[in-house]
Amino acid sequence: MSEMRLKCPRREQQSGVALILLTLMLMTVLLPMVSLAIDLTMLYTIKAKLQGAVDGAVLAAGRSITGAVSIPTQSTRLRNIAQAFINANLPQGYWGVSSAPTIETPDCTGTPVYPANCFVYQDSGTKKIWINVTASVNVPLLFARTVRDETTHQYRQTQTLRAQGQAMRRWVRLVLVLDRSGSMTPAMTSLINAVSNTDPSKPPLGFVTGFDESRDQMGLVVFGGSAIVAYPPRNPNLPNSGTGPDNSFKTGSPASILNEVTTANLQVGSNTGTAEALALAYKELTKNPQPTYLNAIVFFTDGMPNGITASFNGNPATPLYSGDTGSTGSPGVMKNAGCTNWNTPGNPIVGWIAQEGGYDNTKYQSDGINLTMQNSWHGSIIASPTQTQLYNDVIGYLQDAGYDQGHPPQNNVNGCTFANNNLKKDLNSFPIEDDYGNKTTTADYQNSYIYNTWPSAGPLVTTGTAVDNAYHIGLVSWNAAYNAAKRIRGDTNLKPTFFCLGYSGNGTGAAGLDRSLLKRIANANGGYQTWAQDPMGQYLSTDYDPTSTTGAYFEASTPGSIAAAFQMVQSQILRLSM
Amino acid sequence: MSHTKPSESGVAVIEFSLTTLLWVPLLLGTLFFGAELVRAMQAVQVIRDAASLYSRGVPIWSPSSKYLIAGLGRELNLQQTGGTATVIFTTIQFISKNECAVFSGTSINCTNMGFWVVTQRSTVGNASLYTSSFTNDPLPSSELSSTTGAVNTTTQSGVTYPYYLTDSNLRLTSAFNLLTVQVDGSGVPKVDGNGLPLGYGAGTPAYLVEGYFQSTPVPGFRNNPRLAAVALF
Repeated sequence: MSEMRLKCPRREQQSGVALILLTLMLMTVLLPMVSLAIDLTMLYTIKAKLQGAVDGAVLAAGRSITGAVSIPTQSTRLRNIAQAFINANLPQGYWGVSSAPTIETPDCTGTPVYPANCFVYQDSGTKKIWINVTASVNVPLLFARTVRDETTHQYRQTQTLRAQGQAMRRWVRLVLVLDRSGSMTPAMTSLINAVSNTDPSKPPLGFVTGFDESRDQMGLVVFGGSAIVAYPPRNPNLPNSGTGPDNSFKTGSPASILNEVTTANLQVGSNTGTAEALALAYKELTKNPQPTYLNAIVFFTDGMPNGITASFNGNPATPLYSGDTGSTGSPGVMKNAGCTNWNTPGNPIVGWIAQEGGYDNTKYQSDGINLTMQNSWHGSIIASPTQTQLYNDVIGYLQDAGYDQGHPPQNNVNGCTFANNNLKKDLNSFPIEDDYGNKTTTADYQNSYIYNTWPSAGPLVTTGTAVDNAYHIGLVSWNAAYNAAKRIRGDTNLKPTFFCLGYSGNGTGAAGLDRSLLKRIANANGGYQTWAQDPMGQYLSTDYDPTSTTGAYFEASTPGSIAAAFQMVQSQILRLSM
Repeated sequence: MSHTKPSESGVAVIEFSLTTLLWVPLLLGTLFFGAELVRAMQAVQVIRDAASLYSRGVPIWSPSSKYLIAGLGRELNLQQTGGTATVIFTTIQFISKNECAVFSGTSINCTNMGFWVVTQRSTVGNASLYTSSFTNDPLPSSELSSTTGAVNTTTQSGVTYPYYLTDSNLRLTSAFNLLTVQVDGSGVPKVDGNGLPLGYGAGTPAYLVEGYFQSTPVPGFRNNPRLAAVALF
């Protein structure tokens, strides 16, 4: 009993020890642990959110860079865009955040010591443009408020988080390919404005102005029945010469794309030699090749291909009639006694052929073999007073199809002349490939609008009376254009990407566009519909190649809408060049 | 000789038991809430990575891309076509008078001028589980490419134009207030003295990625919980 009395006080003293221990444990172990689990995880979550916001901000700002004005001039706008994307991704109130993150990265002027510390920076050497964003946000703490900061000897109420992001604009190297065939007459002024408008009071600015000469490179090919490299200028006496797209496309003097794409210079006429235009654009990209650039071909047209440029006695040779052996009984190329080139591949007879008057199978109209282009169709390409001789040579160059393949002027081809407007008198079959190696007689034409619109006209006939049949010339030209694009996209080094713009103001189908072809050229992601499902080729690219570069197709249906279509292309290119 | 008499034995156990009423829920709650936070952090990371890929042009609709995205969210049970998570990719753009101008002078009435619209939609994961918080789902499937999710074009009176210019079902809902484009009263984008758009450009795409992940239910409290993460790139 006495022992019990002695023990009772000890037991009472022991009572509550566990609570005390628990309280101590709460203070020293549990709360810090909870603080660690809750607050730190919350901080990490917000940090991840902040990092995502910064990533989105630099990409959006980089996407919005334009070459129309200098980088410092647009810095404020880019900063506002970056801030808007940060606000969108981590708004005020997210997990109790009292205010949206702020961009800390300053604008830099002059030559900064540490470019990475500048919001937007263009490297003078590499010309690359960097967007750098460091953003911070104050996050209110929950349990961790009970932890005293030994540095400030205060209880920490908030924690500042920072995240950094960086995006680099990739350079763009593109060739603009413009259709100036006769059917473009009503829309040519709108096309010129869409490409080269520099007046900010009449927006939108032209497509060309959106690119930056200090880093981007651009070239120009214009085409009718035959195509020429209209920019950059080069010595036409040296076929395959030139630099390819360069950095003076806006301010070059006297030659620049802005100077070339004018009412005076970009004149209309002739037919639609799509394959040669694409081939020349690609040849330009291969000069001083830049695999690290985004290599692009922007192709504008209002019509279906209806002509090809070929070496009619090349390798493989296209049989030229050797005289009155054709069914017409009319003289052919060899009727002229002085024509010594007809069967000599070393002395090529190069020209372009085209059809006229639609693609109806009943029509037998063609331009015959044209060895020359009319000067008036091309206008002045180089008007430099100091380049008089060059200018004269250029005129000659313009007159000769296939000059870029190294073929000399051949207005007379050693006495050979051709039967204009009656191809059947000159050829007894189509060439199996054009002057650039693009196949012309493959079965690909079966995806063409022409073939699917006149299925009763049957398969392509490459010989005999078909050589001056509008339908078959159309199929041959379609094949050449399709295969040209396919070959170009097969370049695994440059990886060229096509952006096609179709002008449907002149109608579609027989009157104008083959949307299906343009989507195929671009390798657009249009799904896998068939002609039966979509006879107008609205959505399809039945042979979309996922291993090749994916481009895009845009369409303008009125002259006034061409500029907007070009703006969409510009937006796509700038996105891809990030 | 024992220091504890039989009457004393168990006191500590009792007190310990009483204290467990406090710290065990605290500990379990901490573990549960911490785990949920970790999942939230994972969700944010997945959506951020997915948005980065999407905005850089990765064809998210392709099987290989879906495999990649599903791999990013594997711990959240994100699968290519099933699972308990849904990631919704939407390309959006603002329609100003310039975008409508592509078809100006034609018979179409560009009723979506002044609205953000959907131009492409792809979904990875269980598409039937969650829908977008910013669009009028389900979007009209006949107006989207069954392969790529891009909004199709239609031809009316000989004019071909994308559905997103006219179909109100492709507008974003008023819940989307994340980004603004400055236009004047007639719908023309405002520009500065250099001809540059003020703020983000109309017609310029933006990339919206939403992720919804089924979360751990707590009977009586959270029967069908979900984690959500959104990114705009």
